[in-house]
Amino acid sequence: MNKISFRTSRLLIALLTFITLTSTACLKNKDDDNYTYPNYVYYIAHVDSLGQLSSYDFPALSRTNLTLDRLKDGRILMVHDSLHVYNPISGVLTDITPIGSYSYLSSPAIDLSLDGKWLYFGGWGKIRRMNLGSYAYETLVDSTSMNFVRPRISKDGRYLCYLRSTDSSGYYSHSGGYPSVLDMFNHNIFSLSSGVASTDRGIKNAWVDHLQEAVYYNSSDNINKYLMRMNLDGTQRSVVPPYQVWSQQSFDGRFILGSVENYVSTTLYYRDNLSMVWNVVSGISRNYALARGANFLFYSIGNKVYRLNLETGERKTLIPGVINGKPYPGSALLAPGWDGKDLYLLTNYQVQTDKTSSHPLELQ
Amino acid sequence: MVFTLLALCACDDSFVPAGNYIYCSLNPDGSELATRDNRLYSNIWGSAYYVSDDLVFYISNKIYRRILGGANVIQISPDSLDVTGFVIDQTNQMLFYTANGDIYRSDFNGQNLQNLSLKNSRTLSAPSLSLDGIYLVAIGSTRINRLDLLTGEWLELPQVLYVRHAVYVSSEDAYYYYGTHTYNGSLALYRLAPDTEEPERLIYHGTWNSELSYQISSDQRYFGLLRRENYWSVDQDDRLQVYDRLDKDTIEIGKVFSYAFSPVEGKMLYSAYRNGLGDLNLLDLATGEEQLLFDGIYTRTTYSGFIDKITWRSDAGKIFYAGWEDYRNPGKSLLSSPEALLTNDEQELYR
Repeated sequence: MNKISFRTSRLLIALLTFITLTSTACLKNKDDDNYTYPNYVYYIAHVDSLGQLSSYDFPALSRTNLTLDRLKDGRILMVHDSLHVYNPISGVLTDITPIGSYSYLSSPAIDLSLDGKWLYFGGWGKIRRMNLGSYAYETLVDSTSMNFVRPRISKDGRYLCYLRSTDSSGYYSHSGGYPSVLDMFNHNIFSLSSGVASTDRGIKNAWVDHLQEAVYYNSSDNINKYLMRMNLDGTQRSVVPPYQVWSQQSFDGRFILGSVENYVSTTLYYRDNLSMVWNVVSGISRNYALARGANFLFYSIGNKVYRLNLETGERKTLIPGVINGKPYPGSALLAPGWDGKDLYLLTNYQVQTDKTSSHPLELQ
Repeated sequence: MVFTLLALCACDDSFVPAGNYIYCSLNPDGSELATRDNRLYSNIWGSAYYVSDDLVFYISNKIYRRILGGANVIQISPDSLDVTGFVIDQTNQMLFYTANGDIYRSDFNGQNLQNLSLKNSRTLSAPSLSLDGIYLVAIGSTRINRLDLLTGEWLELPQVLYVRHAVYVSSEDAYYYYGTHTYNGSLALYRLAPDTEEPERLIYHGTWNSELSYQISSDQRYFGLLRRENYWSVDQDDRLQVYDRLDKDTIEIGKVFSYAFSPVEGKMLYSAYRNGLGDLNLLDLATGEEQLLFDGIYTRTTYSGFIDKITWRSDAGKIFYAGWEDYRNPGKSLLSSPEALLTNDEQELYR
């Protein structure tokens, strides 16, 4: 019995030693006795047409599920469980949420018309549009039992493409569903189910190329993700390589832009439809935005931000990794100006607990 | 003690990492060693057809072209067409491809696109071009269909079914085709002579079609049929049969991973499993002379597990290949096969 006890006690000592060694290997701040969680300060950075950097206060708004867009007049559209328009210069925040007619859906859930007048959004199964001058809104696609989401208006304003979601209305994500197209001129509706439920469930994004009168959509078979194309009547469905998670069209229909994501970064493929040349931008930090009125692509790699002229291939560094001798902390969201000449970014810096760090954009 | 043993396990020098899929190029004259080169193959755009360093076509369900290793890729078939097969007419700088059931012709830039199919024709696939450039053959509902490009007339051969791929040899007025002859038969090579009902079977393996693949040399003289059961290994039954249309002769090579006919002369490059390595051999199909281009050894610690893709440039001046590079423990002999051909000194070199 003594032998058993001795053996057991040796095992216990070894186990305790192991636990002690591994627990001290856990990364802890050297001031862990007084450890507090880091405090971040969020602000809106701005790069103007001359490349000058400035910062503005972030408004009193929740950042949960927040996405940014730009209106044609330069103000920022803030989209999450409500809709706000923010003017960073004046600091005025305007709540434009149509009460009872808007429900949150994961991005991208809204679209803006190319003339800047209309905001297309979904809410509780219906598709609506809001006049951005008066904030009055109207229902375009009504529904009592089905859930329609993700409106995308064609660049000529004629075709409104949206998806029939298999989720209940008010659900905050979209599991997939076939596209439909509303012809805004004659009010005809093209319902583009493939007839195969599993195929339709894989569709997460769709839009109409008015130049070809074709529908492009992103689909998935749980293994691969595809960019597909079909005619407006749903015929001639074809895969458009390279396989892409997400796709969109430039304002003039000249470029198709698609993204392929892996665990670390995003690769963007964009095609010039005039020359049919595909180009690649690799290593993007899943943070990119296409200007709504110009062929400029904004993206970040690490803590640097770039602007790419899709037409010429010229790349310009807007934010280098270091500003005023301090490392730029990186950007969470990008909101380029309509004409691609300026850029708003949501960013932050960490306030140290033992000393106050200065704003990264302040001069030393 | 347990934890000490765990720590020591990490220091065990018998650990050998898993292999890598690599891409290489070399000159067919064997003047240089194979070098790592990933400029040709692509997982994104499709299978590569290496015309020249200025022109590489990629085929998936679309057709692309780019400069070898170039950053930009040009899509030359429209989004609306789902490409299922194609053939290059290098002489006239034209492409013929089947898409959405029809057959199209365009130039190398995708311009001057023309639908050559008849209205309400069968769903066409597997196009091929006769050596004189006059006849285009495609398979429609497993039947051979032939288009006279000069007259625009279509001809269908109703007497043979279950055809996968066919070529028309104008000099013989005969068709050579890969087919199964019955609905679920095994793939074989046949010859259909003029004015005959029954084709002649030329090479046959008698195994599952999923294990078989075929190639035709660009001069349409040599027809290959390869049986390969598993992706990761080969055995003696994984043999390559090559039929010589002119000599009416068949050669067989065992344990073949992959092969590719030279586009210029009567030669063939193939990779076989010898001595535990995937090598590269250049075979003169006319004389039977063979030259070892690559013995399968990359470095002291790495070797070729197998090569599963070989691509010639259209002037046969360059070769690209892809395959698995495996690691070995330098303390152990590289040679796993008792039929080792290395001398004792060579074995010592690679230990």
